[in-house]
Amino acid sequence: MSQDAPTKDGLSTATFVPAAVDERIHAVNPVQAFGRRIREGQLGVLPVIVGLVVIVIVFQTINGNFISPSNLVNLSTSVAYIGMLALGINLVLLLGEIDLSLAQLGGLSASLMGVLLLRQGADPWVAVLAMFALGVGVGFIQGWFFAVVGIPAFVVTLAGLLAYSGLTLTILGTQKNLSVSNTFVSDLANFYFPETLAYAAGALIVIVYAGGQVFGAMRRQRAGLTRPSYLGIGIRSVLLAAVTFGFLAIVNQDFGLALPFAVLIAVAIIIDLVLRKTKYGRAIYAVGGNVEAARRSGIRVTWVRISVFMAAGVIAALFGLMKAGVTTNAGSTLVGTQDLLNAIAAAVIGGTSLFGGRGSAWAPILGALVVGSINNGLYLIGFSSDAQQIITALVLLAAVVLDALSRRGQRRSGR
Amino acid sequence: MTPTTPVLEMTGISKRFGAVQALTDVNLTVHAGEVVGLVGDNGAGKSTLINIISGVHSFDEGTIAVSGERVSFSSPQAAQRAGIATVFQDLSLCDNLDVVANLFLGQEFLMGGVLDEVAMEKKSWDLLRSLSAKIPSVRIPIAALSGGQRQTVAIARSLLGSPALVMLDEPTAALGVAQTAEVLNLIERLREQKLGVLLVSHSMADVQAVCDRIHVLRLGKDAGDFDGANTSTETLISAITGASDNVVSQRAAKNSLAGTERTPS
Ligand SMILES: Nc1ncnc2c1ncn2[C@@H]1O[C@H](COP(=O)(O)OP(=O)(O)O)[C@@H](O)[C@H]1O
Ligand SMILES: [Mg+2]
Repeated sequence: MSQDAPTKDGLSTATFVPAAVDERIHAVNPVQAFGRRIREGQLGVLPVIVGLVVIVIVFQTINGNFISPSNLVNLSTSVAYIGMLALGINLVLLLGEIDLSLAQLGGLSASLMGVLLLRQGADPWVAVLAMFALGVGVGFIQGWFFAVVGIPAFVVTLAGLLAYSGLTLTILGTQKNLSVSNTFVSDLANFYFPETLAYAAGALIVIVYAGGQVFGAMRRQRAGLTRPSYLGIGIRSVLLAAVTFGFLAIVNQDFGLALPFAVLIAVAIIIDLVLRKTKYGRAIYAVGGNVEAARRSGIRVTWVRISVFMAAGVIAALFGLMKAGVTTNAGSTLVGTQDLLNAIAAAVIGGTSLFGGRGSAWAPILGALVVGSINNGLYLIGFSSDAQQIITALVLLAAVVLDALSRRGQRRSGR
Repeated sequence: MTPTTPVLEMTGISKRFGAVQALTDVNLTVHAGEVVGLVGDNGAGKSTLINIISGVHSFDEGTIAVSGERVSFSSPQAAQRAGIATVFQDLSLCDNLDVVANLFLGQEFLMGGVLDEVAMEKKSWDLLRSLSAKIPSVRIPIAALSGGQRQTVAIARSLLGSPALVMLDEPTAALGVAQTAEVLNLIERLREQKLGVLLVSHSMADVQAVCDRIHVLRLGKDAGDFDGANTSTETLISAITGASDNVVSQRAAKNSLAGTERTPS
C-alpha cells in the first residue's frame, strides 16, 4: 500500500540507473537520505503509522479495555463511517479543492432514504437508489457551478452545506426524529462476517498484494529496470498479514468483522487502484498539481473536476447510509459539523495535502483510525465529547502544519 | 542555401491584433539539424511568431510549409501531430508528479486499460539517456528537481511525439550558469539528432554560443539573418534596436572598447 501516487510501489527509493545519474546523489548515505526525506516531506505514511502506534500504546496503558475485542468492533464501525466520508473529501482535496457540504449531503440523503422507507412505504431498493441518485445529482450540480461557472468550490459547497441542512429539516416535516432501527439499514450495519469468511478475505488481500508486488518486480527486472528488493516486499507483506490477521483474530472473539468496515476497505481498495493505475487517476493528480499543465496535456479538466464532485457525492450518500445504520438514526441529528471536521482531519492527518495533488486513498483510512482511536480512547478514559473535539482539532492543526512545512521543504529542495 | 527541403519555411507572414500590426512580412527558415536563434526587443513579435507556428494563433497573410508541405494549424494539437513541438516558457509540468508521469501526461502507455508503468519508465530512461540528461531518478517528483533538470524534462517531453522541429521559448531565462550550460548542451544534442530547433532567447551569449543562424525581429519585421558564430554582440544589438548610435549599442561598444571588431549590418 503505497502512499503517494507520484512515487509508486516503493520504487521511489534507489531507482538509480548508472548511465544517467547525477554523481552527487551517490555520495548520500542512507541516514542522510532519510534526513533529506524528512525535510522534503517525502516520508509517506510513516509519521501517521508511528502516531497511531503511540496512540494505541498510550490508551492501552491507561485503560486496558482499548484493544479489547468488543471495543475494537465498536471502533471499527465508527472508523467505517468517519473513513468513508474522509474518502470522499480526500478525492476533492486531491484536486486542490474542498467540499464543505459532504457531511450534510450524507445526512440529507439518509433522511430522504428514511422518509421514503418508513413514511412513504417505499421499497428498500427504491429508497437506496434515491439516496444515491441524490448524491450523484448534487455532486454534478456543485461540480458544474465550480468547474463550468467558475465559482470557488469553497463558496459553492458552503452554500450547499446550509441548503442541505435546511432541506433535511424540510423533508423530515414536523417530526425531526427518524429511527431506522429494525430496518434493513441497521441490519446491514449490524451484519458481521462469519469467522472463516473474514479470514479468507484477509488471506486473499494479503496474497493478492504480495503476488502483485512480486509480479511487478519481475516485470521490472525483465525490462532491465531496477526492481524493489524481494526482502522489502516480504517484510511489507508480512506486516500487512500481521495487521490484518491480528485485527481479525481480536474482533472474531467478539462479533467479528463488521460489514461497514469491510465496505470501507473495499471502497478504499477500488479508489486506490483507480488513482494509481488508471489514466483518470493520473489526471486527478495532474489537475491538483498544475491545472494549466493538465489542460495543455489534453486532459479534460472540466470533466475531471465535475466527475470527482460526483464521486464524492456518491461516497457521501454511502456515508449517510452507514452512519444511519450504525447509529439507527436518520433524523436531523444524524450529522453535525464535527463529522465534516473529523473527515477533513482524517484525510489531512493521513497525509493528503490541502494544497492539492499529493495524497493517496489510504490517507483517509489511516487518518480515520487516528481520529477514531483518539475519540474512542478519550471516551474510555472518561473525557467529555467537548474535550475530544478540542484534541482532534489540535491533531488536525499539527497535521496541517506538517503539510505546510513539507510543502515548503519541497520548494526549497531544488538541487 | 542547402539543397534539402527545410523543416520549417515561413514566407511573408503577417499578423494583426486589432490596431497592432504584430508581424509584417516575416520570412524564416529552419533546416533539419540547424539551430536558429530568434531574438528581438520586448514586443518585437517573437512570442506571436512562436504561437503562430505552434497553432495557438492564426495568421493573416503568408505561407507556412513544414517539410515542404503547406500547412495551417487550427490548434496546438494539430501542430504537434505535424511534428512541431513547443516548450513554453512556464514548462507546463506538474510539481507533484514524478518524471515519468510528467513525460507521459495525457499520452500514457496502457496495458489492458491500466497504466503500463514499466514500459513508460523504460522509455523515459531511453529518452533521457539519448539526451545525456542528468536526472537522479525518474521516480522523484518534479518539485525535487533543479531548474535545469526541469527544463530537461520539458524538452524530453516535447520529443515524445518524434517531432521534426522543436521550439524553445526562453529556456535559460531563469537558470544559473551551470544549468544554462546544461540546457545549451541539450540543444546541441537535438541538433545532433537532426532536429530543427528554433530558440527564443534574450541572452546574446546563449544565442551566439549555440545557434547556427540568428534571426532578428524588430517591430514585427525581419531585421536581419546573421551567422551564429561570426556575428558580434554589437551587430546583433544594432539590428535589434534598429540604430548603431543609440544608448544600448553605445554602452556595448564602450564596454568592449577595442575588443571585437564591429561589423556594420
Ligand atoms: N493576443 C494579443 N492580442 C493583442 N495584441 C497582442 C497579442 N499578442 C501580442 N500582441 C502584441 O503584438 C506585439 C508583439 O508581441 P509579442 O509577440 O508578445 O512580442 P515578444 O514576444 O517579442 O516580446 C506587441 O505589441 C503585443 O502587444
Ligand atoms: Mg514574448
